[in-house]
Amino acid sequence: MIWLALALGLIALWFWRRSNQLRASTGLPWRTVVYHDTARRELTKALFSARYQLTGKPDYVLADGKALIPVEVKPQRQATSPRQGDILQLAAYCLLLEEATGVAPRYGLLRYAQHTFQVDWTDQLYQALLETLDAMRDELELNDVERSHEQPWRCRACGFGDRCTDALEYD
Amino acid sequence: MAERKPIIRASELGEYDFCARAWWLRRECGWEGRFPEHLAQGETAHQRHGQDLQQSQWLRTVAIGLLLLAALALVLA
Repeated sequence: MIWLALALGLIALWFWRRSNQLRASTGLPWRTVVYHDTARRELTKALFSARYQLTGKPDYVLADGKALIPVEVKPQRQATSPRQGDILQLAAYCLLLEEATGVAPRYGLLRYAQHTFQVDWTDQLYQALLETLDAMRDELELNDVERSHEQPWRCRACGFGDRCTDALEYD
Repeated sequence: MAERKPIIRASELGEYDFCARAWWLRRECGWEGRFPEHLAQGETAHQRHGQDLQQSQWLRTVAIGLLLLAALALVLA
């Protein structure tokens, strides 16, 4: 029996170590995953806020006590700091979770290929989100919208760069 | 009756920040991008990430179960 206990313990340690390695590779903390939207396993419908006319589904929602942590994963993005657009997307999930549960997330997590960023859900970010939503709705009133950058690499990376009449020259 | 605002998806915020025109062309004109393979690669990477996350949870659960069995074997020894 002692040998059996020892064998089981060793196998358990191997499993434990492997689970830690895998979790580390995902860049996410050991928190309970209450929802995930990957691997085609949707557990809930999209979140929706009638007040803000906003909808969306975070990749994961982790439990943080009574509060929740939205997670957005960009597995192919290589960057050492989070992009503003990704921060706003994560902010939208924070707002949607706050609307749905009545409890504001303290922060959300952005996972890129190599880095995980914690984005605090602050009043400033809330204001920036509302301003961006207003600006987008203003643009929807227009018959055409101008390019919003001066960086050729964006046009090169854009799926519409070859057809867009407003694109920067590639070379 | 108050005018209803257009619904915006959270994922559109990233597109809009990247380029307002690209976002508008997709949303209002229904254009499809010329890099569908990028979308497919992204989806595959997402799925792999989700599988790793699930597998890490599963392995930890099994590890705890095995440790309990080991403890039981010790008690019975």
